Amino acid sequence: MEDERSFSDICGGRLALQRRYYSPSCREFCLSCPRLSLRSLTAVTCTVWLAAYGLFTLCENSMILSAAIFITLLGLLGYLHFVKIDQETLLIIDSLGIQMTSSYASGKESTTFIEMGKVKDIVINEAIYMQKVIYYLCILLKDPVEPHGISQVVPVFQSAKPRLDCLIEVYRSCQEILAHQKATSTSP
Amino acid sequence: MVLKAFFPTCCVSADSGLLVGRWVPEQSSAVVLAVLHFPFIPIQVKQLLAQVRQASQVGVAVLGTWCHCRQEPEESLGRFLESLGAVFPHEPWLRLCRERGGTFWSCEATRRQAPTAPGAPGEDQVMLIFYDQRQVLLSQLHLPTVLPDRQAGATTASTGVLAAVFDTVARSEVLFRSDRFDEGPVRLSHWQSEGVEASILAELARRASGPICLLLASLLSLVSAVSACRVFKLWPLSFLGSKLSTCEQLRHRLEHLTLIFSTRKAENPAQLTRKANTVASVLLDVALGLMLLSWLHGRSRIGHLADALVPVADHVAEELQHLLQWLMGAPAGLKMNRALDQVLGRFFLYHIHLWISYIHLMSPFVEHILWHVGLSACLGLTVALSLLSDIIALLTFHIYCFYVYGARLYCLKIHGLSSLWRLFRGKKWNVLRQRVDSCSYDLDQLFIGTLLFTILLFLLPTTALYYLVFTLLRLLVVAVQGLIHLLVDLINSLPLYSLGLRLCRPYRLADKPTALQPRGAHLPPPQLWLPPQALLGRPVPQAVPWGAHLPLEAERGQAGLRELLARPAPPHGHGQPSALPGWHQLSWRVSRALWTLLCAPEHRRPCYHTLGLEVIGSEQMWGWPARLAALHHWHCLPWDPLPTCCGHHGGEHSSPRCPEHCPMPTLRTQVQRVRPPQQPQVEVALPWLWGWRDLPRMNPPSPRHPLAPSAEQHPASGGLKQSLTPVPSGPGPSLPEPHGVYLRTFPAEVAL
Repeated sequence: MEDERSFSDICGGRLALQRRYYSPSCREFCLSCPRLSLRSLTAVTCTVWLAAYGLFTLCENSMILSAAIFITLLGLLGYLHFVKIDQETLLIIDSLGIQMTSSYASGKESTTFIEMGKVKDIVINEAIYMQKVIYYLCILLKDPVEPHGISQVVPVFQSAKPRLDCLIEVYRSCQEILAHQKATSTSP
Repeated sequence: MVLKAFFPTCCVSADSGLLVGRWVPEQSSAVVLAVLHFPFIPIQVKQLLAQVRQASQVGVAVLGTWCHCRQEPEESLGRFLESLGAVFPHEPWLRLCRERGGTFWSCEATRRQAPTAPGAPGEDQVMLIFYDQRQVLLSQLHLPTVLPDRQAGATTASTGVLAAVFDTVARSEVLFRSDRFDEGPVRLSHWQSEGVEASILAELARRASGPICLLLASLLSLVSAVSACRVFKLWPLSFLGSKLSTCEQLRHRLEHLTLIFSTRKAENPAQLTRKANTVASVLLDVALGLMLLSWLHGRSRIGHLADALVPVADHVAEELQHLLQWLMGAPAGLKMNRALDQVLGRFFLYHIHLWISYIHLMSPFVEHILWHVGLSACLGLTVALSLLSDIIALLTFHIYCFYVYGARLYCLKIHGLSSLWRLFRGKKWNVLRQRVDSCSYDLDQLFIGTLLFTILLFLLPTTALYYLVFTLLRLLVVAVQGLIHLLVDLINSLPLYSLGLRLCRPYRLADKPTALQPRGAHLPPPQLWLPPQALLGRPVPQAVPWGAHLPLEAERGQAGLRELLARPAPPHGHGQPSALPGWHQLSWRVSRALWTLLCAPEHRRPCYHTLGLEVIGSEQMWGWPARLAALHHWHCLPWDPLPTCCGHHGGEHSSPRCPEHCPMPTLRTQVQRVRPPQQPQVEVALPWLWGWRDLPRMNPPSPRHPLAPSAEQHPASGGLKQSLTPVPSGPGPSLPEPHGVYLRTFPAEVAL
């Protein structure tokens, strides 16, 4: 089953959280980030082109204008392909592991998979981010050498940066699954 | 209970049949390896499975049925499939069904013992997971079979589901050998059923490689035996061999070729990657060399080059003469001591005159030499570049000589000054106690000493200026040579095969999960250290000023060293690693070289001529003059003995670097010493000096170096001793007893 709610991120933008409940041991959370706004795109393009025109009036070289056009196009393509993340998904399967997918605006998808054997816990952490204190959800990985240690902290939803209410929803579901997994793994 | 079924993507469009695979009870997962199609004879199927089980030690069995039909299976088919469950008994029995042309899948798992009433806790939920068989096999993420607690076909619970899947698929290669063109009793569908993957060329190459490798290996062993004979160890040849970078590069390449053509198969993927990288680098080298050869020998370019060479040398000599005339006058407005100035200037001018005459003597032969050098490019571009670097070294030999003279003079002066300064203050160096003691001099001693001190002091600016000028010139030459050597090292160590794999077949380069990594107190072998950022092997910083050339870092099992970029730690001591671009590194090296030239350790100590470790006696550390007093340049002269480092080679080395594990703290052994963390102090101290990139289990060093000489007085030893804690003898037992002060080697830091 599936349900969708809207939350906001730390800057106030709108996020949509889609929860899919496949089975007691398998859940998926999908956060959609706000799209690229026309306003910011226009602003950047105008700035770059005005600067290029200013240089052109100084240097009288028309290559600057074409270079500015190329730079804008390439920059936009690069931004859409490498920077702008449209959707972030977290898929938890009880016995297999946790998979995080980020899909970019150009359609590229990058996936990270963590085996369940490596996962120690999922927690909400606080962090100081510029002048704010924000909450973020992270996965703690076990240390192979030390049984009670933590080898790595993997933050989740890094580019969407939702607020605490959204994180609590995700956290509750994840903890249910982790508890379920621990129960089934300890019982033979 | 959730049952995981791993299904290969290649069987998704296969016809109906039986599911053949392995059941892993600990993780309640079923790994489907292939689909066996109708019609079949059950006896033959069982025979085949028994054969596969025996050959591969994997518990292959029939797991269930696979149904790929147009709509819901008819009654008769359904009953037939159920009856198959009786023929091939297996718990639990999987039933996968897919609608042809549609997206409807149905998966069921039934157990015989528990009643299959719906809703009962005995009913299993099936999680279907698709995996790409080809990529799983080729990614080589397999459990190594050398783990001590392995049993045939068993996996421990700690290894995890995915490791079990990979392991199963990998070891069932026997099953994948038959394709649909084979006339066997059964028809299987798996990743190779459309035709076993192979290429004729690869097969031919494999067949031919045996005898070729044998032949070439014997040839190469002959060559290396010849080169290891005693003649080359005698003094002139061994010395030349160590100084010329061409010989070094040739030796290097010989090692590479021996590795490539060795008749031993590579045991693990890391060694195979190594071999492949070496092959790629050799091929690239030879290709570039041949291109250079064709360019050089076409259109008589060699003639032009030869014609241009002698005038260039003349021009350089003329510029040097102008420089000396300038120094003999009033350079930069400074007033020199006229007599000393004239003497030094004339001395150097005479040398230049000699040099020009030698060049003119050699000029008829230049073209022939260049032609032969150009021929050597067919051995590889690296050899040609090393030859170029050697030619530059030979052509600028006079600059080297000037540097040596200036340095010697300066060194003598500084020693004299320091000793006489001590006399002036009424102190003396006590050789027995290795410290400064007070001493009562006679009046005439004091008088003459003070006189000489004054003379030397007022002659200091002249000598210092000559020294500075020639050192800068020498640094220029060394920088050019360094660039060439950088290029050579780049070609030598760029892992082209891995790069190509990463671009074209990224699944082959999957990293080893932690369950498969070797664990334990021993160190992982260097090639497993590859951090992804450092794909370009950077050479470890060499001792730039010491020696007439920059020795190439041999790659003998030191791949781990290559990945450690030497970066200067920022002056305020953050341990955060950051990669520097290449030119930053070079300028850093040059400035570091300058720094070490001006502030080298005291000459009485055994000297560690590497760019990091500088042991300065504590009593010397009061300000710049004392540091200047501790200069040592003995090793810049060709006839000086190389630093003897250890006893187990009888003290003789053909190269200043000790290849074996040697207590002398050369660059390499420092690495080997630091790694097993013995004392935290050493670990924290050394990153400051070497600029580690990232040590695996290191906390970032504290911002203030704990052994930094701070200005407070040490209560136990009076006088002007700085507060020092002797560093424990981590880097080597051959260090003298703890004066060990490790100074940070940044110009900004040393102002005391």
